[in-house]
Amino acid sequence: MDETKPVTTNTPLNKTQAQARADQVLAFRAEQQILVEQGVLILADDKAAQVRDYHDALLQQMQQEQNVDLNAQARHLSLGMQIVSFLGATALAASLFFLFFQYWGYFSTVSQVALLIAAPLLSLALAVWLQRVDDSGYYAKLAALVSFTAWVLNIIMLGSIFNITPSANAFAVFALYGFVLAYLLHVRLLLAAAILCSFMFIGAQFGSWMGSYWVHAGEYPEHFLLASAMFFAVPMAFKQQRFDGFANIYQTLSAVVFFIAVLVLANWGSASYLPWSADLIEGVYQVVGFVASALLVLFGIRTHAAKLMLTGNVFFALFLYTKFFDWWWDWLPKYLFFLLVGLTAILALTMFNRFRAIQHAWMQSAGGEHV
Amino acid sequence: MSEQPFKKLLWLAVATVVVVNGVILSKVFINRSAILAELPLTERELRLPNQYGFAGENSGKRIGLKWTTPNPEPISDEWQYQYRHTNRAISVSDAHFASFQFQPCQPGRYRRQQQRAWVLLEFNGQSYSDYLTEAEQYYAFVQQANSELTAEVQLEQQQRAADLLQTANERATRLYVIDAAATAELLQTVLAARPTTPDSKLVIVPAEIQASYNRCAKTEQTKSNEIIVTRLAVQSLYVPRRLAAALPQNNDNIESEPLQATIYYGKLHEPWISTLE
Repeated sequence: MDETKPVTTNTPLNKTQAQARADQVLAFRAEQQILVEQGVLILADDKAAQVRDYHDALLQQMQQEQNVDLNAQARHLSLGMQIVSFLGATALAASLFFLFFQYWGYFSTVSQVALLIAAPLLSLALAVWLQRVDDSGYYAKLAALVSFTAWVLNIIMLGSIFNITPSANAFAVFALYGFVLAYLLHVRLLLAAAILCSFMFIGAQFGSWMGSYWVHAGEYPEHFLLASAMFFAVPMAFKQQRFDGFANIYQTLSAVVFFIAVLVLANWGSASYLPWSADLIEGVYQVVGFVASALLVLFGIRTHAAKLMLTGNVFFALFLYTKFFDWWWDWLPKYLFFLLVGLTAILALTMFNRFRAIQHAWMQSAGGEHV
Repeated sequence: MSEQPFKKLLWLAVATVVVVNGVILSKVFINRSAILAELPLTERELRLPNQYGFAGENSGKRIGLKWTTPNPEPISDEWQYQYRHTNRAISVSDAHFASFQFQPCQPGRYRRQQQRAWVLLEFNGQSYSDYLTEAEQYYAFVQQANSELTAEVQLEQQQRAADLLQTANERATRLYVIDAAATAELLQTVLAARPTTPDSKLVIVPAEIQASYNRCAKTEQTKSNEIIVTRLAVQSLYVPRRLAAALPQNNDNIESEPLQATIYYGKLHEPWISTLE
């Protein structure tokens, strides 16, 4: 029997891709077993062993490098660990905040400044050390989130101690550190936090340029439209192949912010900067909302991005139902209103089914792969 | 991640912390390298900020500034004079109002029109002196016999006028916001021209302002150049540990206990507490 060749892949896989490949291998084994039992597929022993050894080596390598789950129990445990890790990070961040507030009054100003600067640096060092000693990465990510919290505390408390005039620039430095930590330790939660801080900073800057006070940037949703489009395009301009789930976070978060802004303007045109009547502005943003959410669904289908597709669907439904509410809530008896809502849901279901059938037929005629 | 980009990102994270802290501390140093104004405030101008139930969780101490704006309405018995010290509206000159570049009024359009601005703070100056004079005149006025009022009503009115005068003399804040503009430079000429006494102090500080609530209302009473000073950018000051012992332990005592603080405003118009007794 030939010795099993070392497993190589053309491009390094991120965790999601590695998990998909592992699932594919496990599904192949299960199907192969059924085919062998039914006598459909009979492989020579040496060939079967060769395939089995290759897959064993592949699974072992992916488990070591990407910590993939090789059975359903492990997958459930991983999900549990992610949830616990998130809760733990939030609790540790809150604890750090309250710990500092509880005792900072007992320190001299010099000690306070030294502590505030040391906290993010020490927790960063801890995160880097943990990443080297713990393969799962969960503890390193927890430490990274603590470091980010320490950084936010650092900036806020320095401003407080020295009575510094509050400024939106704080969000820019939060975002900068958040991005660096996210890419350094592959922390998706920190990427989301950094993107949100960037939205706050960009929105505040737009607000200042338009003559309002930065604290109230959120009252004018148009401040966030350009920023959300910009962040949506980031994964297209800069490939996020090596960073598992980052592209998804950029695009889903940007889409959510964009659609919330459009949804607000579609129902409250007077918050717009556009020099038209509120009714016209609302009408324009309703059209923008419908078109953009439909386009996002198509984009999600084309790029196989299920979360984007879902986001598009949810906002399309929201735009539709808010319009229904506007048109019919006062005018129709409630049973008829909800009947109409139900009927549109059935109509949408029929359309999705037909679309699915067309896609299935197209894939069969193309002799293509079944995904 | 390979070792090289990892190291670069690690150093970038460290550099972010070091450089940003360096910039903040440099600005603090620059601010405190020169003193623009020194305000000798007392419990009349100071208060403990509300901690919203978190006082037990926060060992740090802050003191807030109590300030007001000159009230153009004459004192009368009709309105609640005790709220006179929380006035926030102020009328400014055409040039200063124009500097804010408020957007034009459009019917049915939401505009908070709140923005950052600079205000001229006056401590123990002309504005307070005017208020005191007005309170004295009003007190003298209500002492005169008024045949239209019963003796009982007149006595109550006199009592309120006496309270008002006592408040003006002993408890009311002497810190007034007397002007506002979009840039500090516009206020420099006002500051230079403002009459001062040896006890009065003037300082330009950043604040948040907004257009008057009735700016876009088409009524004859609309004061076209009126703005509202929402808050000073630095409304409360951190009390360092070495000074914190001088503060009363709860908010109720700060107005009844004598307190003296020297507040400095530095080069970058940011304040700090120098002494607290």
